[in-house]
Amino acid sequence: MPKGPLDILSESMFYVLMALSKKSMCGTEIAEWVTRRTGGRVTLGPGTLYTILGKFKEHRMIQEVAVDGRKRTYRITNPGLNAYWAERDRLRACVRDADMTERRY
Amino acid sequence: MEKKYMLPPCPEFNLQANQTWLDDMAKQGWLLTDDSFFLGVAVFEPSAPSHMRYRLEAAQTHASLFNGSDRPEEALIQANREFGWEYVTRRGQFYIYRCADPAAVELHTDPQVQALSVDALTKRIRSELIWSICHVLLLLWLHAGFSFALFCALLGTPLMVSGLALLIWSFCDRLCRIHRLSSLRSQLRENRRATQRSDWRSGARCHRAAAVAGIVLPVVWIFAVLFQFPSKLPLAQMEQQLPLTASQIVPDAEIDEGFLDSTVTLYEDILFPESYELREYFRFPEGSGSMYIHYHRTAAPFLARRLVYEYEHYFDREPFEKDERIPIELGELDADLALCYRGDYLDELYLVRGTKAVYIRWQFHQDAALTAREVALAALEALD
Repeated sequence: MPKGPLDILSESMFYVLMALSKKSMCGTEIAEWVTRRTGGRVTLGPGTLYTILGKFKEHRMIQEVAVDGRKRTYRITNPGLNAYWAERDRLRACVRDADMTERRY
Repeated sequence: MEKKYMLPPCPEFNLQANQTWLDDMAKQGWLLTDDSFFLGVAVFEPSAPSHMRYRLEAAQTHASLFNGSDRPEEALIQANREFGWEYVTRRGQFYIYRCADPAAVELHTDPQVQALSVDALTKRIRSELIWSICHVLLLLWLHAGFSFALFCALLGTPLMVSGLALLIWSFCDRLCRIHRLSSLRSQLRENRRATQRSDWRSGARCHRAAAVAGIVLPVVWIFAVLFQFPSKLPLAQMEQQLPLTASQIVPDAEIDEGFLDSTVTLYEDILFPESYELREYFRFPEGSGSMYIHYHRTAAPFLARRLVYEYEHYFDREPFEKDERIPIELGELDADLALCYRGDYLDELYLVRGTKAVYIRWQFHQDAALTAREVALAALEALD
């Protein structure tokens, strides 16, 4: 069965969901949070950020909760949380497997 | 302030070439203006040479002047500005941003996310191509085939040729777009950013020639439409002598000025210098009748043969006539081609002699009328 466009989350997408899983935020707040959380390793350009937000909104993984002029605040939905947790668990499994492999050798 | 006008050297879908070209223009002291690309022409205004980064972003819905999405949403423009990216203008289905701050984060930092925005655009163009193909097939089916020569004779060769060229150009353009977008998508999905410099000069001449064709062809087509109007007038008002009329075929025939008007529609074309469609209602000593004559003098004999072929196979007959036609034997005639059929109400005759093609349909209201062979002989004599 062909995968949908958001069945595989890229690193940027994962961190956007991570940020919103903490609290509702607007776009610039999300970008700042991700940069701080990753120590500058992951930066979100505006084109990337707003494309992700648009796709997540289209797939009902996030929703707009407030509009203050041109500033829009988003919150994560249940499907968004589920997608975030599924990806988190997958990555944990990958790291666990890698750790076990290294211990053996 | 003097502006510079340029035809873009690369197609809009070649992101890297566009970005490199605009960056290079900024280094030379030319900045893209916000009224660029209105008719496909880039407009630059002079400025101090600077290191500017230009980036193209695919529009997520069809970007057009007519649906209110010829620019991104204001909220998005403002949001991008907060990151240091200024919206400049739109080129086709791409919004163009620029940034003067070398420390500002890139517009797109995740190629796989950028691939998603390109996906939406690729799907739209693919749909447009499929719709175009369906339209063409529908047209061919409605006209029961491809009667190109007949359309040239009736609508004008410039209109048909420019229309066909425009159709071919449009198909090729869409195929090129899909090919470029597919390459871009593959690159982005491999996590390779579309920010590398690219040689925009190679292929510039070819692209500009294609762009000029894309501007010239619709203009030619529009002019051809505006100036291709056949003239229709009552036969009685016709001052010049027509090469073939009912009176030349039926002895002593005169125009019947009853409740139906006899008319002639005159066409003019470079490949068909003399063409007309004659509807004549006449009386003669033995009775009355009607005759529809399609006459064409062509530029070459093969065009005459082709026209008759298209009349025979594709031309719509009256809706009340059935499809079945019975061939009538005409015997030996001094013609390059002579065919005759009996229909339910009208008999049909197709003649070709040299560069002249004739299609006649007629009906006599009395039994004492001419035979098909007599009609054919009289028509051929009039054509001499």
